[in-house]
Amino acid sequence: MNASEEARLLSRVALQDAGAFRKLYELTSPRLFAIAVTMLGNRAQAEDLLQDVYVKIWYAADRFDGSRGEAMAWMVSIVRNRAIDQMRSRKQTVDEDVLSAEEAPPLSEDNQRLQECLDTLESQQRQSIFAAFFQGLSHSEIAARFAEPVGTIKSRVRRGLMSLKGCLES
Amino acid sequence: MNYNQPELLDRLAAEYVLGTLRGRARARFERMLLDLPEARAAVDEWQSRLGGLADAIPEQTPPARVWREIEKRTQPARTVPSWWRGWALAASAALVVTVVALLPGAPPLEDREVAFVNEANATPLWVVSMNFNTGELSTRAVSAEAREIDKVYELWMLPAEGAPRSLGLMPVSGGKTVQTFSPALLELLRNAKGLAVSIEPKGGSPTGVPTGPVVYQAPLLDL
Repeated sequence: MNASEEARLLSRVALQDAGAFRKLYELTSPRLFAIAVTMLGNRAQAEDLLQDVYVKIWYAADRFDGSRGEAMAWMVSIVRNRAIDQMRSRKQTVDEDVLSAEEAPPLSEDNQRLQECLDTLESQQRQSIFAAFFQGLSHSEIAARFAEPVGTIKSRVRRGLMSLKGCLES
Repeated sequence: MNYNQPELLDRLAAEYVLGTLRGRARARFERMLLDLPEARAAVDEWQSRLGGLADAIPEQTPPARVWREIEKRTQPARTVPSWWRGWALAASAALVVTVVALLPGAPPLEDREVAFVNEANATPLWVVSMNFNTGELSTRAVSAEAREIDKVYELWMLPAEGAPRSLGLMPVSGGKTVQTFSPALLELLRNAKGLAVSIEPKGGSPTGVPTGPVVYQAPLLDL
């Protein structure tokens, strides 16, 4: 696996290289901040979350194992997991101005394969997966949003994920 | 719930990464991630599959104050604690990290073993190897095991000047870690006074210098 710029910087951060940490922040914080804002729907909360995320990255950088996946995917999972933890008792207000669950802008060239496979999903499966990923909606929140039974949403999401996996592995 | 079924594990991992696994089920799965390498592997794969979705979210630059706060929390002003001056005296006689052969001249093409951490009865705990071409330092746990649940071993370099520099956490239970040294760090290592191992809280020292007891110490031998 080719070491991406993020992975190279992360390995230096693991050795407490402050300059590398700063570069990594400049390179990746706009993406991670956007994820936090989109999921929490609140900029102030997103700013606090972003702080926690990068502090965690600073102390946990040595735990990133480049053979197990991309550095950016690792960092994305940290911010998403934290945002989800914060959502536990949040009252969900559906915000239509935030990235629409119906469709998403096309992905970059790096993610061409993922884009192709997303396009093969049934549109309802894709919408449910987007609602979960981009807005951190739970099964019941997605069910409320699309006025469908929770069980339907659960199996829809499952089938969508497995189709995605099958397509990506083929 | 029988976590031995690979399909079930895969489904849980997918839902964990997507975010639809919630509540107690999520908490249970997170605990499992600590114990089950197959669960960890499944999660890593799903993170790689789905991570690219984040690409679709238009970037937003965070305000400058966020970075200032991060800096404060990760790089507080360093003061050298008095215990550090006593490092030379603090050696635990029975346990020594020995770094051998930081040679000038043509670096080897492969990993060269540079340190052996042994118990008093010469049972090897860790082997530290360095590839001077790639700058990769590998630490392999031979028989080192975790001491306490919430503690880890951290490896430190004592540079010629300044505070100790962390070289990362040391693996246990047969694990291996690899760190890539920048040329600057490699240079520091060549001129360093020694290595040491301390006990730290989970995640390593929160301050950037050792906070726990130094249990192993090494003079650096110039050959």
